[in-house]
Amino acid sequence: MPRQTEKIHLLDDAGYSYNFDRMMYINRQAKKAFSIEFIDDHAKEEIATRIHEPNSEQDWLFYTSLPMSKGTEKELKRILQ
Amino acid sequence: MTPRTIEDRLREQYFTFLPGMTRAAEYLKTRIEYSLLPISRQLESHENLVVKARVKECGSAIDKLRKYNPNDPQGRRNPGGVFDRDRPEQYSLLTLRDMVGVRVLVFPSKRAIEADSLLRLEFGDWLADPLFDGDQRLAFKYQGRYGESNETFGCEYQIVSTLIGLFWEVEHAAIYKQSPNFKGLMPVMQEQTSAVNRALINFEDEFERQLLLAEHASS
Repeated sequence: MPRQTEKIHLLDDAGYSYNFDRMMYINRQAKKAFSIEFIDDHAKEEIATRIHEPNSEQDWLFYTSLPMSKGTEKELKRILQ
Repeated sequence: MTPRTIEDRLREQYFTFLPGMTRAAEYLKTRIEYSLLPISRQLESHENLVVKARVKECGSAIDKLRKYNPNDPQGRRNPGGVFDRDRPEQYSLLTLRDMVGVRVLVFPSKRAIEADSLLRLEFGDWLADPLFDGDQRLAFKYQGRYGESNETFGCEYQIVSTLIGLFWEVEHAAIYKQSPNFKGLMPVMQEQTSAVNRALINFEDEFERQLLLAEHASS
């Protein structure tokens, strides 16, 4: 199985679904989102760790390869509410 | 009064530039067709060459800017695909590299190589940005700027096999244009899309091989 498919299965199994407009795998219950670039750039094991790490602040956690600007983060949180 | 959004400002910019972009598309199409006359005049009956031009649609241009990350030197996508509403000044349609696009569809692929050589002479200062699927080159692509006034627009031309170009048209119309729900199919369909690309390239390679064999046999 190609590595990329393995990573996507991992996210699917953890309740993430792909949002084309956001270009991210999103889980609204866990309040976490992974960008496609982050998935491309990181190993399956790293993604699994991020999926299972606790979201103690109950605020959205965005996993991206480059840091997001404050304005972008604010707008994304607004849209995902 | 409701403040103007980034989208409002970009829509206004689009319709201000639309006449200039339409002229740029017509100009580039004509210049490319003229440059390719040495090929199109000598096409065999089984060969073809078609030049198509388009101006990017307003909605597509705004969507593309949402996905554009002005802070990424590698030009990778903007995670989240949203505008930074604290910094509206960083978004302009003039930063897009494909507001005007020309696609040259050619069959068979040896004609694509000939077309590329002729157009490189004509557009020598345009930057090459070929399209690949894995290790396989799918299309020649070049980017430059053109405009008749102070504003110049990001323009590109592609040279692609007719088979792949027509497949892209169907794929684009089916997945991007029809329903927002279908857009989610893109990553899932990636492997199948690559398989179709490979099959079409193999078809073309084999067709050309058979033509060569037939030519040798008759000479």
